[in-house]
Amino acid sequence: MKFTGLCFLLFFLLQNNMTVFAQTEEEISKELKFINHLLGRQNNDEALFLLENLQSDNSLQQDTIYYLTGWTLYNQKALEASAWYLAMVSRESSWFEKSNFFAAYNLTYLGEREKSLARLNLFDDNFSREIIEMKNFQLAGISLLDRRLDDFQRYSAGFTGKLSFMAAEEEKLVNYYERIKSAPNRSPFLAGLMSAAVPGMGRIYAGKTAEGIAGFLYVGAMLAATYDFYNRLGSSNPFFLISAGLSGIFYIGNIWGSVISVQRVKNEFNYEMDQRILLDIHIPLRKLFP
Amino acid sequence: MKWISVFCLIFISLCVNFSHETRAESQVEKFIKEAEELFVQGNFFEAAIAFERAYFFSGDARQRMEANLGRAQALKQRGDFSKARRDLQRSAHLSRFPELHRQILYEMAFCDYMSANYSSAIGVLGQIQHFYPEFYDSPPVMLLYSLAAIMSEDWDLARDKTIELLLLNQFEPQKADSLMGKLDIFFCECSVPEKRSPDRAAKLSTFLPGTGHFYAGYPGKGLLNAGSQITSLGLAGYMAWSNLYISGFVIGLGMFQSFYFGGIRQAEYLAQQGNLNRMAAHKELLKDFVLDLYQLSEEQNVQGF
Repeated sequence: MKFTGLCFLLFFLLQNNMTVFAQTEEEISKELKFINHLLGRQNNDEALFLLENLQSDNSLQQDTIYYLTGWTLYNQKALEASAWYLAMVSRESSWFEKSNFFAAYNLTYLGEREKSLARLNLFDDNFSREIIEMKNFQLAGISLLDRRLDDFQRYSAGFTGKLSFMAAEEEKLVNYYERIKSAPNRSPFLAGLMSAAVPGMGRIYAGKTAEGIAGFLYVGAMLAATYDFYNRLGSSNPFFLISAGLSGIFYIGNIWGSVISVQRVKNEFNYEMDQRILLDIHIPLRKLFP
Repeated sequence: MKWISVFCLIFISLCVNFSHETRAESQVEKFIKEAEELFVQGNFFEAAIAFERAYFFSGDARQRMEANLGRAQALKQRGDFSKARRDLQRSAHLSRFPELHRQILYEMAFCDYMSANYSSAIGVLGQIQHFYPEFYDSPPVMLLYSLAAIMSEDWDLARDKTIELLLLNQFEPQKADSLMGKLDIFFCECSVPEKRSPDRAAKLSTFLPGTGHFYAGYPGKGLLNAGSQITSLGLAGYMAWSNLYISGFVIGLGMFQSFYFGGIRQAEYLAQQGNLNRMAAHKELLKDFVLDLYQLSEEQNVQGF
């Protein structure tokens, strides 16, 4: 009788205590469900507000909070903060692979390549084949962004083309590598010299044909008008002096413009390549982790 | 004895489960109360979240509709009409609570109007007309209908709805006649500003500089453009007459071609801009009339909302 009464009391206490104990974790779990609902409805700012005020003693729950915060910030294109939160997700979490890849990608996008490499190197041989290939692909992309062509060759040797979610992008990276390798290295000095000889020629050499023709026309027109003033009105006429002064400015400006256009073309090419590489290392990540 | 113990254990478990359920219900009520407090404090962002939380956790259809309406009010206060409209859509299906359903439909139409989806607003107001005819015959609904029709440039519909708004009021016959007369003038097809074709303006300026601007309704700019073209041509002619053929060609004709082609583009742009400006002014005029009418009906207090 006493024993039964004791059991009864113990059960009652246990059930109540367990309820109290489970309350916080259960509440956080409920809150996370609600946050997921908000995210599903694209209420990112509201979800972020709740996530910022949420903390759990349970490490797996805390990882989920970090992951959701990082992912929401990523969707809001706040990449720096996103990378920070995603990097906080621990290795034990089921979100680790996705979080770590996206943290690395965000850092790559922000130009923090060293930190990005460090994150990618957290994927050791214990991970699946897919993850290792993805790591290799991301490393290849980063080396191409850094124009470390030898490193790219080394990484691209590991491209199998067998994983459907990144086979096309592997080909594209190899194509960018070829384009970068064969990009002409034009001389700004030579461009200036060519424009001094024939206005606009330097820009054509730099790859800006339309600008070159336009430059030739306006400098040529100014010089022709100057010659006309000189021929009809003489060298001391103010019209001639103004026209000659303007022609000189246009002529020198055209030479300087040609020198700059070589660098401009180079920057445009680099920018285009970087954007394409960033896009193509991003696509497989979104396919693997939708 | 053994059976008594087992019975006691089952009883306690049931009590605990039941207390969880009632706790969930009271929790939703707590969320709604908290949301309402936040709303009163002017913290509309957190109020919207709290209402959404109540919506999410509640299992009661009525409570969900109320929470959704509350959230829409909070979002409206924040000026986020498109989000409010999107969320209201969740409760737009016919329900057992007509007084809430019609309110949701009205809010949807309002948010559509505020986020410039006028045709959608007209569609939702049509639903109100169909499902809740007694609610439809109220000044706020009619006002919204009329405004949405004006903004979507459906002049016949706008006229009909404004007449209905007028008829909702029991004005004195003299006043009603005067208002009807004004309404006929404002909503007459002849008062709708004529649209000028940008293509035509461009063509006119191509053949006779400045005329495209006149057609578009900007005579001053037309004169200025034509004058600039004549001056630059005169300069070119004067320089050629002074034997400065090359300079005349480069400077005079260079300026002329800039003014000429610029004038064509400007005439086209001005025709488009003029259309927009005239139409906006006309809509403002009609909206002012409809709002005045509504105010009069409010003063008369014909029908409560």
